[in-house]
Amino acid sequence: MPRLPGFVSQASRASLRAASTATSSIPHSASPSFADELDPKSILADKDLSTIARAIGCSADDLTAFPNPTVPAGGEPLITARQLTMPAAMRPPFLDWRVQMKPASLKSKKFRNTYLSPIGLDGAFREALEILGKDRDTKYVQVLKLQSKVDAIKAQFGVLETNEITDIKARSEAYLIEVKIEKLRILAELSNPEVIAQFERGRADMQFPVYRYLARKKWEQIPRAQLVDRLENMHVIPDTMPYIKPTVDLRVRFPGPTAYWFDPGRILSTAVTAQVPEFQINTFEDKTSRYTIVIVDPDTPDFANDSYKSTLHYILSDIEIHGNKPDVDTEASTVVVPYLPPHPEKNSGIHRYAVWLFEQPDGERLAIRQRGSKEIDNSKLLDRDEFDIRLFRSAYGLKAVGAHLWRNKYDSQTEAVREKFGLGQGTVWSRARIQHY
Amino acid sequence: MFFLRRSLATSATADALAIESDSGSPAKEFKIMSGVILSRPPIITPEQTAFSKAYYHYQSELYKRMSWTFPYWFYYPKGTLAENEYTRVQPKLNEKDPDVLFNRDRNSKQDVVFPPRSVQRETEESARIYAKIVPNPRTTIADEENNIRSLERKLDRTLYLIVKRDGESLEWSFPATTIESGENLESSSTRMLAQYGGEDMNIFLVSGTPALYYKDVYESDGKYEGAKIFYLKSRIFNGLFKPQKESGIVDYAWLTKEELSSYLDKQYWRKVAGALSKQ
Amino acid sequence: MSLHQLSSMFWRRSQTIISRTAFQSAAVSRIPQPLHNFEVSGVKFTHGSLEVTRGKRTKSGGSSPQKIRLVNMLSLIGRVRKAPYRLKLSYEDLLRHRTIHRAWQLVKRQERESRNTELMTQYQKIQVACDELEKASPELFAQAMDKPKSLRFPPEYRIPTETPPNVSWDSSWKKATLPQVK
Repeated sequence: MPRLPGFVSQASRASLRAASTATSSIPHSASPSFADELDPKSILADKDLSTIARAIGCSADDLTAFPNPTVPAGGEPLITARQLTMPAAMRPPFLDWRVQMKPASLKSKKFRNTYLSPIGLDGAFREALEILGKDRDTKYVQVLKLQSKVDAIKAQFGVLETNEITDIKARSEAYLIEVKIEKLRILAELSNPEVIAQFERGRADMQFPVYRYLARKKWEQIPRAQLVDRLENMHVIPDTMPYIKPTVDLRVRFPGPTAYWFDPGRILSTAVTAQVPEFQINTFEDKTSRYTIVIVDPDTPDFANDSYKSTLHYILSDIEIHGNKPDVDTEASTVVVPYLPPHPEKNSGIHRYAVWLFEQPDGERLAIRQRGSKEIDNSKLLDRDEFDIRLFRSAYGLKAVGAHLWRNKYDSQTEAVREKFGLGQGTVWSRARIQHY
Repeated sequence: MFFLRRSLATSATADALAIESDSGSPAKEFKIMSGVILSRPPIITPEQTAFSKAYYHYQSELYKRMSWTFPYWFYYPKGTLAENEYTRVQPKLNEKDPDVLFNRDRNSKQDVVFPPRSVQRETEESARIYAKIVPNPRTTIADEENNIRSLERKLDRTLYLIVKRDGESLEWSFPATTIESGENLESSSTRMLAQYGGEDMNIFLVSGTPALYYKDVYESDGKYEGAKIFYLKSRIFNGLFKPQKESGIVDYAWLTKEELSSYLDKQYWRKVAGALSKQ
Repeated sequence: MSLHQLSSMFWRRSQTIISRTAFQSAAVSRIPQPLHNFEVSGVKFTHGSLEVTRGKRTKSGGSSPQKIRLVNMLSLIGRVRKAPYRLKLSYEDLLRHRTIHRAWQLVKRQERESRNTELMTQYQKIQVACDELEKASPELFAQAMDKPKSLRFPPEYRIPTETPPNVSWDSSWKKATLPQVK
């Protein structure tokens, strides 16, 4: 609907509707794509594809091999060099930026047919795209300059990766430049409406730094705050570990027909929790590292000491996570202690099951690390009944990066779970009358 | 650099302030001079960019879309001739449309059309008052002619005065003069402006504190090794710069910052540019 | 709704409107008068005696002209029947809107930054000039640093307008010759 609502002085809806049908009869290919009107003297426009791909941080194949939605059947492609500067993952096919009368996002037929774009929106948007496009180009030019600097340093030492540079000073310099490049790549695409649309529609590709940045921001907004709130209010901190600043998004669910990533702190049925949980680890970073998951129950009654003790339920270690693949592969990881289904005793109250995610040092396999002269009693380390998670963490030199939590209590399914997994007869706790003299 | 030599030569007799040299050797010192960066402030706002135009258009359209319906029933009471006149000029809307209320489509903006002014006796005075206001053009005759001596050129920019004085090699520069005895930077520059350009200028000296420093080194031997010039900033509001006969002014120009770069000596421009305003 | 309720809701605003528009001929005091007994245009309104219903046609008999007039006036204040429908943007248009504002913020930031750097360089030039003047001539420096006792801001300074005034430059300005006072 080019220019339509903008210049109709008396905006009767009926007259607008008549005008809209008049313009919509124009063949699709005749209305130009916004990209055709964008800055033709763009800094990047004249460069070859490989340069653009290098600036964005993807391969040149990514740039060319995307389905072009603006190609009419049997017609000339409306694709321009400018459009090509955006890789397939950043240029979703569902958003056609030609201003159209009937927005695809409106599901109701009634709304779609009577919808009118505000006057002047189209013109201002085109100008805005031009401004943002120029800014984006200048940032990519900076990226290319910095990239050549890093390449020069690498060539000087004859290596391909930054961490292979032998000289500490040169390595830190290269590392700082790479951080800068990452930041610029984020800033360059942060105002791109197609990127934002892609992200908000849940189609983000985590290989691009901008999507990782947006995902992290989104996680920090609510889920992380909620997690920390639950951990503190339910006293998982300090009952298990003393402190955490989550940097990694850990998600937990139990398999089944209604499996879902539940919020931390939920009270679940023991039948549901009888199965081995599934995990997702979102690191928001483009790196590969190894993690350990520990599940403990700090609410096991300890009558000898008139207190509570921790029970170890699960240790899964050597979980390898690559930047953009969050799913945890249990078979590829090491099960140090197999999963013990929660089976709270009757009248022992609500039990908390804290899931702790630790990052293994230097991305290596799980191994005991002696610190100083401190002797560690290895036999007690993995004791299910008297598990000390703090001792475990320090013995293996782990770093807590994420956490999760669910709760169980004695319910109608607990006895069935005991029977199924051969956990023996449960105890029924009851109040004892104590005589005070 | 020779371009300020003449001014030194002419006022060589004046008892100028000079730096005391430690050695008793013949005076080879820098002369202290005062100068003025005289500028005409912008008269109109800067030219709008395409984006800013489109943005304001969009914002105003949003505002109109969300404005309340004009309560014509209050200004044109029911049953009066005025109401009749008002409803007559309103464009027809589709009354059957349920979204039309009080002659306004509630999904769009409302353009109120007022009935024409009814005139019984048109006088010269009333015609003048009610005449349609036509804004003055943003460009002037001086712009078309590119008259660099005119103060009516480039109304949206700050114009700076540069002069060319009679000397060995003619170079453009901001006007400067030697400080005579009993004078300070402020008084000497005020005196200089009247001396060079006449009295009929309404000038505001922004401050007595120098805004720019320039060191000029003379190449040939003379009494002085060079000159240290301290420029003050000032604004002109009315009147014209008219070169005076005895001042030795050969030429003068009112130029914007970019234009100055092509007129001034390269080294001089590099030292001076930072003190000037872009707009 | 009774007149009392209505009037107490809109008392402040209606006070202005009454005195400004409809009853200009009548001498209306701007001082808030007690609501139960105020006089406009020679008609006495007594609280409780006039029941006003908004939104109802008052064509049929029984409604006094005063009542109609009051309802008319109060109709200016409220949003009822005057407010347009809420502006609903589709996702695509909302994203366009957000993009426009993002670009606007970018432009404003660039303007602000360039202005700040310009001011910074000008300030540095002033600093250098003052330092050099102090070295070259302490006397001149002392005089230059003297702040005037009263700041005279020129009244001729005008704020730039979108289009120039009728006379864009007063070329015929002459310096006023004041008689010598002595």
